Amino acid sequence: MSMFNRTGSSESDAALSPGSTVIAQGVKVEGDFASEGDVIIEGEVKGTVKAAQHLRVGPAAKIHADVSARDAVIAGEVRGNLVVAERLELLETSQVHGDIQTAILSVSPGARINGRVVMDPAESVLPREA
Amino acid sequence: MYLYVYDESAQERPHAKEVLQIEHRLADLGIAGKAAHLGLFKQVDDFIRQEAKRGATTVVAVGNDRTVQRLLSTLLDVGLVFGLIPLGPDNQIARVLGIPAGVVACDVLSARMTAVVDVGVLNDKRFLREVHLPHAPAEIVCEGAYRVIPDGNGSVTIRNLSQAGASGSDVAPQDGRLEAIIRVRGHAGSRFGRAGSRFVETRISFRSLTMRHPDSLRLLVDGVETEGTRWEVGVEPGALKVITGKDRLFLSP
Repeated sequence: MSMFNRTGSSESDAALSPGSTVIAQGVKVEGDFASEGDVIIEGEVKGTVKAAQHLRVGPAAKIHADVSARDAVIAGEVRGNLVVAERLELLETSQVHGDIQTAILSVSPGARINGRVVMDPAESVLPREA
Repeated sequence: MYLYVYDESAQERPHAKEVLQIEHRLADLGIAGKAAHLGLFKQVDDFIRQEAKRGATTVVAVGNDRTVQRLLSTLLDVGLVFGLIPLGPDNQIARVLGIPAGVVACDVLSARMTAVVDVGVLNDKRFLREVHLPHAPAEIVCEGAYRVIPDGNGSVTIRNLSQAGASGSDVAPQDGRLEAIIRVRGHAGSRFGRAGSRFVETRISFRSLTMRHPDSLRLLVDGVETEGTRWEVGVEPGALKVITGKDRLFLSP
């Protein structure tokens, strides 16, 4: 069962697989965050985010970081470059202030992108300067 | 050869009949062995070490989570298989291991289905189930790479062999990792409702974590109270071989 739904909220804890990470509202993470499992972010993150599996960014989440993941569904705000190996889904409430690199991109009406979009695997999004 | 270590409470009157039934059942199953009772002045750790040298293979705690915590370090040092016969309240470890309470546990021991599980380490203290801090520390650093800052007060639980949520499907004591659960109150306007209406959980899987607090904080290590201001938390992957029941709450990887 997927840990994500289309309304921008994560499903119950019971759906989380072992090794999953949830950064809930009311919690701030600062530094180089990396996870080997799925990641749900509903709170704030500053630094870098690396998710080896699925990444879910909730509608109230604020991320000031370069982000990489295998798959991602974004409903919140990302200020930084976004590198998603397979599929990136930007929901209605999402805001991305940075460059995007992905193989498959889905953009819902209302989603905001302020940056380059690269879908050619030969090109890459340069790391965002501090 | 089995060794049995009885909790102090096993000698109390309410348990006398059940302990007798357990001893009879162990004899019937052919797995009776030497026994010791935990007590203020009893040298049970020395007893386990000596019997390990004489060829003991298994140590069985007859008691609850606190009994396990009391024996855990010695068990790990001597490398014996660990079994549990739950007696009385506070037996969450037995529940996760799928061991029924009382005399029925003897049959589970006899079947000897085993699993190798991780053990958590908090400073120099080992734990099997969890560490709980009723008040969140001021600083939490994971993997030496990032800080986790709770907005306002909350609690922290570090889990190994314990359940989170009602399903218990996420008990994972064989993944070489621990899980930190940080509970803070939900914010106004969030999907969690009004401010303070309920707690929301941050869950982080990790191998090493450091916590600090300027004042001494109380915490529970497998139900045993201790205090401190700085804690290094890590994991010893696959450090303990335990006897489990068929209804254990985790699957082998």
